[in-house]
Amino acid sequence: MVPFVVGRLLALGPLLLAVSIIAFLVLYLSPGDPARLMLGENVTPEGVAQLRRELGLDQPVHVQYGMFLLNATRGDLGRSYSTAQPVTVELARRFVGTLRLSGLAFGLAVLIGIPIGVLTAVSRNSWLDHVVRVLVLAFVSIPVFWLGILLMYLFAVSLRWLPSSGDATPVHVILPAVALSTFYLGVLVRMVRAAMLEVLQEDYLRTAYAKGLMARTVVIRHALKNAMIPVVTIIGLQIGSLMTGSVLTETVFAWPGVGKYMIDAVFTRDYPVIRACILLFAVSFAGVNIVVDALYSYLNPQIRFATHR
Amino acid sequence: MQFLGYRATRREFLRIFAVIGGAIGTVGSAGACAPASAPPPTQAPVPTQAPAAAKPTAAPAVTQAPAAAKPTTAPAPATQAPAKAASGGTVRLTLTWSPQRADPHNHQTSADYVILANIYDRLVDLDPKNLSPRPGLATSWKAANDTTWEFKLRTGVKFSDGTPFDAAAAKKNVERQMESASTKPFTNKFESVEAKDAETIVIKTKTPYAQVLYNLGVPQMGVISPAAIDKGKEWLSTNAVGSGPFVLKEWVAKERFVLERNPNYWGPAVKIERALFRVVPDENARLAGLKSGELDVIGDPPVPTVKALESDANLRVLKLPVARTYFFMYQMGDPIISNLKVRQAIAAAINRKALVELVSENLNRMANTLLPPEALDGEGANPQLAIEYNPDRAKALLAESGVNLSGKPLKMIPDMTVVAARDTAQAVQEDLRKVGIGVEIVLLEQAKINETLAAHQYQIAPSSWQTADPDSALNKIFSERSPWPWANHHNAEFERNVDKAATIIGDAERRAAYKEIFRYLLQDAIYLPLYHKNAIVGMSKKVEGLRWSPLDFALLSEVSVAG
Repeated sequence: MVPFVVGRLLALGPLLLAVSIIAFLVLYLSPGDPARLMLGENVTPEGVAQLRRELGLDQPVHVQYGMFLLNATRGDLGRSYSTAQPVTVELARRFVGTLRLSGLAFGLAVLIGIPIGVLTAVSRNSWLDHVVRVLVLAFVSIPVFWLGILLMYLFAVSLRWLPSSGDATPVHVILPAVALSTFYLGVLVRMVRAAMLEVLQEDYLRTAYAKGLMARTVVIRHALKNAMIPVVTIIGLQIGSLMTGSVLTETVFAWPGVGKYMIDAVFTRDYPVIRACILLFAVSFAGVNIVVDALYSYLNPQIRFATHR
Repeated sequence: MQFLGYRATRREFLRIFAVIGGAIGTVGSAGACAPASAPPPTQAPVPTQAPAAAKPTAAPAVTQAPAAAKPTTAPAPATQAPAKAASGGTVRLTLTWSPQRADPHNHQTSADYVILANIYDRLVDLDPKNLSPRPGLATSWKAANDTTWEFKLRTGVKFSDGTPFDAAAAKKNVERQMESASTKPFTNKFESVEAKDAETIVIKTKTPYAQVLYNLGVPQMGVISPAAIDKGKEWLSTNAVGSGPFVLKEWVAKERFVLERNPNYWGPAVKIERALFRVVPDENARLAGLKSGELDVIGDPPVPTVKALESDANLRVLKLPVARTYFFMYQMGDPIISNLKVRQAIAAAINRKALVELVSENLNRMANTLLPPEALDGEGANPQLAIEYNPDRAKALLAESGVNLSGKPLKMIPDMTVVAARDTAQAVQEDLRKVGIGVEIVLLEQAKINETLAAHQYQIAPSSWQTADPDSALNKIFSERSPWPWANHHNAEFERNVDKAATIIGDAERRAAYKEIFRYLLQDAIYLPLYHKNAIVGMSKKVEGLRWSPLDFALLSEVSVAG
C-alpha cells in the first residue's frame, strides 16, 4: 500500500500546478476590479491607478502568475488585498476553525448515522425504520441556516444553556456543529441502510449464521464491513464538502471558517485569498480521496491483492 | 426482544445503544475540548503609558462589572485632566460588516470607522449634530488668504506610545494623507503643508477651497503617531497608535476587536473600561445575542423584530439619523429617461410617504432632497421642494412626453444595502405599473452593479450615497468628470457652478451657491430622493451615552454601562 500512497502524493504536485493555472486564469478573466472595490466611495482615478500598481495588478498576466508561483514555492501565498495580512496565516487560522466545526459535525453524523442505518436495515419495515425514514427526510430537507437559527433561539435565548455565536470558548462549537451535521446524518443513514440491505441478502451470511455466530457478530463483522465500501465513498465526498467550509453555518453563527472567508474574498475580489482557498480545497479533496482509496484495499482484500500482482 | 429482524437479545440491544451513546458523549466532549484555534495573528500589544497622575481605580472586568459611582463632573474639553475614577465595565458591540484594516489612510470600509474613529483623533472634529467643524487636535484656525490656512495645534497631547503630538507629527500625517489612495479625495486640492513652528502648521491649497476644514475632520483623516507611521503600512494594518479616547488592545481581522480606555486622553474622562466588537454577519444571530444577554449593542436588527424589541422591558431601539440618502439615479443618456416629462411622471407616480411608513416601517426618513434635512440651513427639509404624489398627473405627463413605453420595461438595478431595499424596489415597480410604466428589477452583486452602471446599461439605479459633503456628492454622482460617471449627466453650466461653489470661502455665499445647484437638480428631476437613512441600533437599557456620527459610526467616548 505504501508505494501506492506515495505515488498518489507525488501526483499532487502537477495537480496543484494545474489548479493554480486555472484559478489564476478564471480570476483574471472575470469582471470586477479589486482596487475600485477596495476604495469604495472614496475613489479617484489616481487612487485606483496607484492601488493597482501597489497590488501588482497592472502587470501582464504571465508576469503576475510567475511572481505568484515563485512566492508560492517559498510558502508565501501573498497578502490579502483587504486586510494586508499574510494569507497563509489567516487561512491557517480559518482552516483550524473549519476543522473543529466540521470535525465535530462529521463525528456526530458518522457515530449516530452508521448505527442507525444498520439498525434500520436490519429491522426493515419496523416502526423504527418508518420513524427514521421520516426523520431523515426532515434532516435532509431542512435548510441549515433555518435550523441553526432555531437551535440558537432555543438553546441560547430561551434556555440560555449555550452561547449564540462566535468561537470564544470550546462550548461555542456545539450549536453550529449540531446544525451542520443534520444533513450529512440524514444522507449517511440512507446510504448505510441501502448498502446494508444489499449485503444482508448475500449467501455467505447464511453460512455465518449456520456456523452459529451471534447475530451481532454477523451483522457487524461480516455484513457491515462489506457494506462500508460505498459508504466510505460517500463519507469521503462529505468530508471534502465539509472541509471546503460551510458558508451558511459560519455566517449564521459568526464562526471563523474557510467557507465564509472565501465567499467574502469572492465578493471583494481578494485574489490572493481566493487562489489560496482554491489550492487548499484541491489539496483537501485529493488528500481525502487518497485516504478513501487506501481504505478500500483494507476493507476489501480483493482490491488489496489486485494491486499487488 | 423480537421487533428487530435478527432476534437480538435485550442485552445485545442495550449494549448497542450504550456504545452509541458513549461514542456520542466522547465525540461531544472531544469536540468541546478541542484545542483553541491556531495562534492568533501577530500583533504587537500597544505599549502601556508611563503612569500619569490619578489613575482610575475601577477593577478591570471582562463582563459587565457593577458600575462604581459615575464621575460627578465631566471636565471641559479644553482641559487635560487625566481620567478620574471611572465607572468601568465592558460594552459588547457587534459589527455587521467586517473591518479590513486598522490604517485610517488606506483602503477603508465604513465598518473600520466605528473602531478607528474612537482611537484616532483628527485635526478638526466634526460636531455629531450637524457636522460643523470644531476644535480637535487643532484648537483654532484662520484663513491667512484664499489659499492658505493656518492651524494652531493643541499642546500637551501624547500618542499612546508616548510620542508627543506637535507640528512635525501633524505635518507627517498630512503628507501621508496626501499620498495615500483612500485619503486622496480629501486632500487632492492640498498643495503643501509646512510646520511654521512647534505648535502651528500651514496648509496651502491649489485653488480657494473652503472644504478644507470639513475634509480634515472625516474619519479617514485620523492622526497617527509618527513613530507608528515609521513602522510601515503593513504594521498599521493591524495596529493602531492614536491619541483618542480609546487604545487598541486587540485586532483580529474580520472577527473581534478590543478597545481599552486611554488613561492619558486629553479630553473628558471615558467611563467604560473596555469596548469589545464582534463581527456577526447574520441579523438573527445578532438579535439572539442581544436577547440572551451576550451582547449590549447591535446594529441592524431584523426589520420585522424592531417593534418587538421596542416593547421589551430590558431593551431599546434607537433610530439615529445618518447623512446618507437613498435616491434614484437616472441614466441621462437613455432616450426614454432623458425626457424630462418621463422623469417627472416617475416622480409623481411614486407614493413616497407609503414607502417610508409601510415598506420600511418608518425605519427610514422621507427625503425631499439629496442632502440631509439639517444641511444648507435646512434646505434639505424645505417643504417647497417636496414632490407631490399624484398618479393622475403622472399619467398626463407621460402622455405629454410623447414617449411610447409599451413593451419596453425600464431596467432598474437597486443598491441592496439600504433597509428594505428589495421591498422598496417592488413597491416602486407596482406604483409605476399603475401609471403604465413597466419596470424590470435586476438584482446583482456589488462588483457587477459597479460594472453595469459604469457601462450605462440601466435606466434607473436606486443608490445610496453619503451626502454630508455637498461638493463631494455633486462631483461624484452628477459630474461628468466623476471617477464614476454613472449618471451620464452632461451640463456645462452645472459643472461651472459646481467648480465655482467649491472655491467660495464665505460661508453664507457658499451655502447659497449650493442651494441653487441642488434646486436645479431637483426641478429638472435629475434624480429622485427617496429616503434618508437612519442607523437602527438595538441595545440593552444598561448602556447609556451612545452617540452616533452622521457619517454612520458609533462614538463611544461617553458610553457607560450600568451594573
